[in-house]
Amino acid sequence: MVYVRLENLEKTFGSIIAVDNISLRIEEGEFFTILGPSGCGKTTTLRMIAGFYKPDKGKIYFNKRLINKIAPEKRNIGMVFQNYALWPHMSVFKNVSFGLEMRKVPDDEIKSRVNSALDLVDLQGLGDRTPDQLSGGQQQRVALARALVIEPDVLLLDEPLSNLDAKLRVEMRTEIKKLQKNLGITTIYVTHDQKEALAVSDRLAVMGLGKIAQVGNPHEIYAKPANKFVASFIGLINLFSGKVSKVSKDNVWIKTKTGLDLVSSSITNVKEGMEVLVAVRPEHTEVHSQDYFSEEGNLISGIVEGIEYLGDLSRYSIKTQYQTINADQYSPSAEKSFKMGETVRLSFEKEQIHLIEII
Amino acid sequence: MGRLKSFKDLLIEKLKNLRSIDKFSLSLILIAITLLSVFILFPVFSVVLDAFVEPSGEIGFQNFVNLIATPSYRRGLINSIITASLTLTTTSAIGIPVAYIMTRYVFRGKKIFTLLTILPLMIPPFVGALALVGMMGRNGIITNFLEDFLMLFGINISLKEGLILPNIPGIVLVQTFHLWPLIYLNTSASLSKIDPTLEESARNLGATGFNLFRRITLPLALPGFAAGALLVFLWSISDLGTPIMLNFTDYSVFQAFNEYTIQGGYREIASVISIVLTGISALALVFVNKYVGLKEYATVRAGAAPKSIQKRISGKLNIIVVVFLTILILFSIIPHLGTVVMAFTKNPSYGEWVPQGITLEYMVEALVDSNTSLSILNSLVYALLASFAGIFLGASIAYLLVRKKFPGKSILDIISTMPFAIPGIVIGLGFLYIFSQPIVGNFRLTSFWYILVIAYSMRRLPYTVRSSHAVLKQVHVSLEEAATSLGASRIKTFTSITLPLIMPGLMAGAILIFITSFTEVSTSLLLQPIIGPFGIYARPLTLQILLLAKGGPTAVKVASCLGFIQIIATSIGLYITNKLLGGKAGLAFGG
Repeated sequence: MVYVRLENLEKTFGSIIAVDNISLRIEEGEFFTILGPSGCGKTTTLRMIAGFYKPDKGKIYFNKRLINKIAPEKRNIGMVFQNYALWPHMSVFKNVSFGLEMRKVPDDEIKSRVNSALDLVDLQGLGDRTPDQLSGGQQQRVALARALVIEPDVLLLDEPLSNLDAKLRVEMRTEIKKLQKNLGITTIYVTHDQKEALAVSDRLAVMGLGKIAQVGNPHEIYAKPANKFVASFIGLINLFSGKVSKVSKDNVWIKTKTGLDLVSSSITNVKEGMEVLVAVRPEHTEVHSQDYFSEEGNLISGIVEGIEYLGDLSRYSIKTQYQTINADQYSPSAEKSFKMGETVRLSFEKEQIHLIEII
Repeated sequence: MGRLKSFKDLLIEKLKNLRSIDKFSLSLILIAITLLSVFILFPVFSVVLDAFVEPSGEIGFQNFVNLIATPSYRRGLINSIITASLTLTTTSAIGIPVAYIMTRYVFRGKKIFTLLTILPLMIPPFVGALALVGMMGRNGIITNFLEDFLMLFGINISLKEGLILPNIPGIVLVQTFHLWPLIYLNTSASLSKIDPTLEESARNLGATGFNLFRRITLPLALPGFAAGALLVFLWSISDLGTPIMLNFTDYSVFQAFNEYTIQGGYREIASVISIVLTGISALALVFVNKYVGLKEYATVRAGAAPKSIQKRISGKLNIIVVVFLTILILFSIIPHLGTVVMAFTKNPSYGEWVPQGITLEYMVEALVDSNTSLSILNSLVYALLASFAGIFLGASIAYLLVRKKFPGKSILDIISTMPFAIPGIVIGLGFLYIFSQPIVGNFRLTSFWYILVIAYSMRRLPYTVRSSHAVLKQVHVSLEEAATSLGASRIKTFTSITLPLIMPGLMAGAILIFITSFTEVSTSLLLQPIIGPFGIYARPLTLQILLLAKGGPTAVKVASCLGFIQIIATSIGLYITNKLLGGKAGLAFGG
């Protein structure tokens, strides 16, 4: 079992710093995801761990072993590439057995291990096919089997699902997660798909512009984003800039730049006068008819400007005097829905209002 | 993207690239640079320098002055430029319509024509010139036939001098025969890749017919056409074989050749002419690159490219198209038929055009005569070795260019593509200047047959670099990385993954070098080593053909037999290449 430690890694291409001084620790057996938009440096980081790029600065450890100078073929990693990288001139069997051949495993052992690997990914009996005879999903699984059969210390996956259609993606991510849990291999997964990242990861790091914006488990990342970047990257969110006007034992009062008064119960580390970003998820934004009242406060009047019916929810775009606010209404029905142009009242639960300190 | 760095950091980055390159690649780079410098750069420079050495021995521009001042040299230069331009015009006049017809229309009989349109590529141009002169020159079979034919209509013209004369129209005619497929193939490559939605959207906005063709189709097909046009122009202006065959002395390349090889000739003018021709070639290259660009931009959309639309034509238009193509094909096979007739029939009496019987005696003579048969063997050996050398060097350079980053990479790219724009005579002269200097004692490289192998592989280097480059690019780097991640060493990755995947393309490239070396003209005529692989006879096939062609009637027939052998070799090679590349062989040959 291997843990991976990245220490002050930096990588530059030409005049662009792709990875800017990042440090991470991925625990043994953990399913760790690096999430971020295109160009954020996540794939570059992965490739440095694999050994295809040499870090300009910083160190990479597998357990206590410094591996910077170790060639990629000697790192005992299993890697799944975005385009699967299956060799077209070899059968499925030969593709999967390749790593074992490199390790000089005896033939009969190769046979049994390859067949087990194919079983593991549900591709029994397809050993004689060539990659061009397989569907995208099947190719993906061959790539997975090929990486797993060698029992690597670390499993690296570079956006392995991005070439699959939406439904297959959801199916495959569940399978990958299950496999990883059973085998217990330290896994580093790279993706730009935030739903995917939240669904499979034990922990994840959100990256932007070469830097790590936040590390945490999916719940922390989603509910308690540490900064504006993470907050707006993950899911939809309503953001208000403001200042803390008052702090009590249980509550915090904020006055936004646009003059809105809000109250939150998120009192940790909050001081009066602090500049904050107030974050509320649309699913925690409730839509009521215009005469709704609650003593709790956090009420805003507005007009429905847009409606997206997504089946399981309706997403409202509400225009208010302060800014446009998104609100999700689950299990929408004809009776409970609101129409375009209708005047409504929005409310937030103070427990669901998250504060991000602006530094 | 991450934040930007300063200029100093950029410099450090460049040096870092050099340090981080692996030993294997570094040694490849050094080998490549050394070979290219010694066998391309230095020879070219030596010709350039020699141009500035005046007859008196001083350094100056006198040779250039003489070039312009002497009427014959001036004529030679003007003739070359005019010929190249005219050939470009005629080949385009034929090639572009054929390209349009073949890519846009579906009609009865189209399949046959697809095969036949690359016929001219199966005959080495030198052999073609020999056949054309034999058939349409003085006392040629076609010449005499035409005279008699016209007589039937009461038209009494004397064609005693022949239909093909030693003048510009003669050269243009012979060159056109060989070169029009280059325009056709390259233009149709562009035309067929044009995404039909580009034209559809134009049609949607109101463009039709000729307007559509002129403003949308033509510009999009331009890169392909430009590539073909460049090839035609460069080939024509440095063509040594045709003027020699036609005995047209007022042609620059021929003049350079004569002045160098003749005893007491004006040697320095050969260098001047050569570099002036090179300069014109370079200018043409720059011009095309700058104003047209050789990149394909005809496929704009993401996602799968739809097949280009083809219109089915029938009735009158079908007939016109078929007649046009048939006449074209009939003309195109004159050189092939001519070679066969000249090789395997007895000559008709003077002024007549009916051959006097079929015979194998000339072929037997070709295979039995010791010198002639040796020249066949020699060329086989040279071509074989040249293809090995060319593939090894070309693939290595392609590997460095595709997979590696290092300072000086673009220079390597340029030098390995240079021979493309350099007339063969420049390489030949350069080799003579440098390598006829004794290295050790009396040992001169130019006395030995290796010099030809080196010359052939260097001249063909751009082709092998290009075909290896294309084929290597198709092997996505992730395929190699996957092998590395699973534990394969660099060599194992190359032999298990890369090599099997690029083999067809490599083989195709090797065969092309073989064919073109087997039939190469310029350096084969200029470099005349004495010691061959099988004894004191190093003449390659083309030189043997030339010597025989300038001899008596029997010698000419033996020359035709040798030409026939070259046609067979070329056709077999092209066929195999076609199979390996899946039908695009013609492009690789000309492009």
